[in-house]
Amino acid sequence: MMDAAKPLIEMASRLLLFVTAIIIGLILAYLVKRLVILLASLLNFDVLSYRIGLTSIVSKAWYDQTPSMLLGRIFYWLVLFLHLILGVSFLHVETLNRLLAGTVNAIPLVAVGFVIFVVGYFISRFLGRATLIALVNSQYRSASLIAFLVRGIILVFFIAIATDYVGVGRGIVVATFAIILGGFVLALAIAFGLGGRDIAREMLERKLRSLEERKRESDELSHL
Amino acid sequence: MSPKFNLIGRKLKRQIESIGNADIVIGVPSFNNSDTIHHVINAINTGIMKYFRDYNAVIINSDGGSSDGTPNVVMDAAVDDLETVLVEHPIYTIHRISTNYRGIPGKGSAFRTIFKIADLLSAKAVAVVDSDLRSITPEWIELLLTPILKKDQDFVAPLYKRHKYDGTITNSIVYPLTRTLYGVPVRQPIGGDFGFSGRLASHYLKVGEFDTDIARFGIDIWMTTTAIADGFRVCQSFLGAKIHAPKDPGADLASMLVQVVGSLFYLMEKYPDVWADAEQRDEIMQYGFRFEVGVEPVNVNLERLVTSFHHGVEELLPVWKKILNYDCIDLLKRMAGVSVSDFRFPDELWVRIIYEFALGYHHRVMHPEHLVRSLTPLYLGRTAGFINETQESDSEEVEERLEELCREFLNQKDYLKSRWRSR
Repeated sequence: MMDAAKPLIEMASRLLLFVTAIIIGLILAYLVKRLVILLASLLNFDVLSYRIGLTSIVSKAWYDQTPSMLLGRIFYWLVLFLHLILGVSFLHVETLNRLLAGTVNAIPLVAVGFVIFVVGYFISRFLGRATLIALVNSQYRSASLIAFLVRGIILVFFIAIATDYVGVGRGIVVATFAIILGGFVLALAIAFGLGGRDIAREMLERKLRSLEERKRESDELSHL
Repeated sequence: MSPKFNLIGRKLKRQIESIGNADIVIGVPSFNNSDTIHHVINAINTGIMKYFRDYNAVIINSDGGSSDGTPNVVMDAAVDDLETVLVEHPIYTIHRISTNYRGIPGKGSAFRTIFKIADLLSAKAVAVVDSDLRSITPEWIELLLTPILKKDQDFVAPLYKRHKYDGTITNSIVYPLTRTLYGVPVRQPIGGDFGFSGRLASHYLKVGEFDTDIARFGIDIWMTTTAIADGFRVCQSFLGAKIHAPKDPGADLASMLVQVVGSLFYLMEKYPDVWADAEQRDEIMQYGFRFEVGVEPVNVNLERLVTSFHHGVEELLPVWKKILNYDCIDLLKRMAGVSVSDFRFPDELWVRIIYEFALGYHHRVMHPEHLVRSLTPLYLGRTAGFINETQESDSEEVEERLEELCREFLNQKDYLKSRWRSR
């Protein structure tokens, strides 16, 4: 009878270890979350986030969260996830162990991919804004549209790099990006070269005329 | 701050050593100004011979690598007939040096070389003038240097007679803001033609930030602000009309704003304790005989200015919302529909905008260059509104109007001070 109960006792002890790990994980995760939020507020993380535009992203996705609260949440789930891995390892279930090992191996890739995306996002914002201001100051009517396109192209480019790095749809995203961009450029070339020759000429002439008019109409203010 | 390289090459060092000492140094920065610098050098020469013939003088041309023979023009310039300009030969030879400056390309680097040479020559007084001046006379040299040599002043700013719409950045931003912040009513803080003592030249060398944008284009406002904020004696001299060679009409206004206004905001961060508590003075010592001068008319395209403003409101509101408060944004939106003839830009709003931009610069709400460049349509709108208001006014009435603007800057200074430390 003792031999029959042994596997049950073993399973029970493993379950107990698993539950203990989860409970400890929950407590630790909560404490880490509070500590991270406290540290972030001491370091003015929310002010810095506002300046770099992170707050606007966070508020669009999670309207009731500040960046420091979101950071706390990230650390909360990270600590809990680590304890989950630990707890599962106590269960000695081979399938689960393999699944978790695969997940843990993917974490660095996903993290780097996320960083690439974030860097790309900020670069696209910076260059998009620079383009918008420069075009407005040069009196271009379609300034917003061009700035939007600049921002979009840069963002898509970095998304392609990030997904290629992570290995999600490897090749497909890059190929899609290349096809869209290449197709756009080819279409422009054909339009100006063949089909839209006359329209292209008219557009250029109008542009040159407006440049000439602008020069004639410019004033003689000496600003300095 | 010492540069990472020698400012003075061996050949120049030998020239300076052969001169030894100088009482006065006059510096002329240049870059491809062969068609105008001849007149400037002759005016300086004549001024020295007329008013400082007992002084040992050196003219320094600090050149940025001209390809049109500017240094040769400098060295060869001579007044053909001294009798017609009523001067006698000076007691001392007027030395002339033309050298390429080293460092970041720009007027600031050119001036640094001039400061260094003046320091090495132990000059008592230094003057700097632009190389494309058409209206410079020998009297300018007397007016820039005599207050230093004989009236114990340290810094002489120029005072010009200009068309009421000349110098719009100076009139709407630089003059009222500098006056309000530092309490000293220097009318032309970025005039470009200055006199200063040898002592101040050495000070400029010591505290100069010539590795920054100051070296490129912020040098004029930097010199004026440093002289005021660091406690030197400041005055101004009336020079008459200021006429330059015609500038390229395509010169980028946004870049000018970045240069001048960006430098102003930068200096606010350097001297927060000085401008927070500066005592306001109604006037400063002024030299020179004031006379009326006919100025060249200025054509203004009001419609283009107002259209630029409207275009800015259409496209740049998302950027301005990061800098300006809700009330300013609301007012700007309402102004967007106003016709050219009725367009006005109230002083209260303009001053609030400048202060909010200064605060935005200080608190880094976005990249500083983006922030200042986005001011361009607002500045054009302000210029249009000011022109509309003052079309029938003469220059004295316009000056009085500018004094009203200065009062508004002062009225709102407490707002700036209270928001400077916290956002």
